[in-house]
Amino acid sequence: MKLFQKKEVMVGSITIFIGIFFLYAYLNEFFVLYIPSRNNYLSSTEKAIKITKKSINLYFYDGHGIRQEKNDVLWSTDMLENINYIMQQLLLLFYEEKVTPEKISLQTVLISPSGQDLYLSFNKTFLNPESSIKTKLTIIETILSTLRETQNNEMNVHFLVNHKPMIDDHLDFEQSWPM
Amino acid sequence: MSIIKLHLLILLCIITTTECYRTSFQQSSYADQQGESTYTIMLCPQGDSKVAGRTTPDGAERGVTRLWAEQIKKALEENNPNIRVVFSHNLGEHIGQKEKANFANRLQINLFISLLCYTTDNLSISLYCYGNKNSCMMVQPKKLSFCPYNLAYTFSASITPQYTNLIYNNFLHNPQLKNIAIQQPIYAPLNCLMGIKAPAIAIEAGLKQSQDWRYYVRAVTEALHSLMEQLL
Repeated sequence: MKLFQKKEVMVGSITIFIGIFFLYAYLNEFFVLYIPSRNNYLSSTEKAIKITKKSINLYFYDGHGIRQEKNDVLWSTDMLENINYIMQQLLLLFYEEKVTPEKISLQTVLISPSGQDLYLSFNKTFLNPESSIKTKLTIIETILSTLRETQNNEMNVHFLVNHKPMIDDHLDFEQSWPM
Repeated sequence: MSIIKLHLLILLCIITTTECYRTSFQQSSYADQQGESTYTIMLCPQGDSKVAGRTTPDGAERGVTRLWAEQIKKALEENNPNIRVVFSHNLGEHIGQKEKANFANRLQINLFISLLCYTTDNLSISLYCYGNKNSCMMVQPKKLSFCPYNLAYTFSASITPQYTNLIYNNFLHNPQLKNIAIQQPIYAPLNCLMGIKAPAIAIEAGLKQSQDWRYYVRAVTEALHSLMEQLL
């Protein structure tokens, strides 16, 4: 007695083959499976609720002292997004106020899983090599002061250029700067 | 005749061996000079054969800081025979900060001074120490303990602020620096002070013209001299 018909065997084989093929493709990341969940998917109305308007002080050094400028920003629950936006605004302000001779952009913002370290990667250094050490430290202080506006908890900031520690003749950027 | 030669040879060997053995346990001439009252200061002018440093009105930072350091050395050694001044590197030499720190730590110096300068519209002088404001609270590691390169400053974390404040106060009361802005000591992770176990201080001078470094020679010398007087 035959347990399976020829047709059933064929269909079964093809199904198993397709299944194995998809499993192989998934494991080799030929495609990415995205399952929308409550955490990573928000409808436009939900997003609108979570984004609020907030007034933030941006600090900069004008050669005589630290100055501040009030700026209205869109504040979301995503801290990385907030830091990214504020840093972009601050770098633009640096360029407008001639703190930096050319426009500098922020490549990446990352927070370590522990939430203790913040990594800021720029496309070039924001420090003038001809400046005094005090001026350089004051510019770093303005960035840290601005970041302090976004964060209540203490974090250590790592300044990077092209995802490598920033190189400066005077200051050591191998280590982090406490916020 | 050959027996006498053999005896002479054996005697020569004994004398040579004894001398070598004796000298190996004897303190070197440098250590001998570094007696109880001798104070060794290492001066580190910014820049070297490869790194010119920042630009000054008539040249580069390395030339100005070298001249400044040489004048300080001359003035300090002339006025006080108990002070020995050494340079971290010679003219035309290129060595990294790790080598400088290694040299300073092996030499067991008492004070490390890094000299820097930059161009500005107003004459100014600033003092810097390695670390942060809470450095003096850090526990000093034991003499024989592994310590990361960037934490070597903790060996003298309690003394460095005292030295810096003494120099700063001396600058404040120095009539030669009456028209020069004197900045308060700043604690920061500076490359030029990294890895040094002895108290390390950086002095940065703001110059309008390249020759302005001359204003600071006497002020720095007097500050170091008064520091030595209090310590020796």
